[in-house]
Amino acid sequence: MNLQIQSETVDDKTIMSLRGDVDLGGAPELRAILSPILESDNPRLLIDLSGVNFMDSTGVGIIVNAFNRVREKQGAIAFCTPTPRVHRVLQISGLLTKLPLYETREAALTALESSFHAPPQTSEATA
Amino acid sequence: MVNSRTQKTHAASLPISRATAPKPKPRFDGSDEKVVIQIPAHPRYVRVVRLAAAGVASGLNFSIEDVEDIKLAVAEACNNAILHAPPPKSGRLPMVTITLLPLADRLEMRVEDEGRLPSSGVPRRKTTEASDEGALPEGGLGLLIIESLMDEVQHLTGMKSNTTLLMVKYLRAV
Repeated sequence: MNLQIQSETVDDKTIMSLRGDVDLGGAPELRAILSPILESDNPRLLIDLSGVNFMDSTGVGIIVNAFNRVREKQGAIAFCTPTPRVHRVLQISGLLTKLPLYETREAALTALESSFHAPPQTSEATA
Repeated sequence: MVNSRTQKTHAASLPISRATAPKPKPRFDGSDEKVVIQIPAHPRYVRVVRLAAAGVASGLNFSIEDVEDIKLAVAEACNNAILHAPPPKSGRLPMVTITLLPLADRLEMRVEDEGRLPSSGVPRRKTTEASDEGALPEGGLGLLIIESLMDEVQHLTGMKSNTTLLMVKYLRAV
């Protein structure tokens, strides 16, 4: 399934929902949509992964790049509701506990509200 | 542009040996069958390979989780082949050839490109630790993922500087 990206702004936060395959083929479009958000001052970004049914290392690289750039901009970023396949690839990549990853969108939004941009201490997803 | 065919062959399995316990009989004995797919080196065709690999792996009675792992590993191998492919010649994209060899106790996969690896080889991440500034490393994950998911991985360089990645996934005893 081709990557579908839905983005909305709520207050000062961008909520981006991804559906389909986050892979080498979908990478250019995802990077293009993320770029202006990541270049803004103090970006606050939530990426909902609940619709992702395939993610390869290219997709992981985009997620990590977003995390790094938001940190550089003193912003806040959170990822939520990973599917089992996303959970698996992040686990293999050694990133499961290093990214701000939350089991629910509500928990991720709460983290963004507090401008929390460090990896969570206890909320490792278990999807 | 995508050529897919199944052909009979008497070629022996890939030269990887491993002592194995008796395994459940697969739905088909693939000892003399292989599936060969040739795709242009473009990301849009990787999904074709993923689906083919999933179909062959399902026929061998791999678990759903293992089928997903096989799809990811073969996609990563194709990604590497595409990213390191030589530029098009006369508008023709270089090709990537994927061979799926189902055997009684394992699936062997071979991904061969027309490319030339950088002298340093395929970029490989050595660590997932954050830098002193807290930044996480962003690239070089493909091989790490392949090696994590597959039971055997070998790199071969051909006479024409082409590269072949061999991957083997064994059926687990139930």
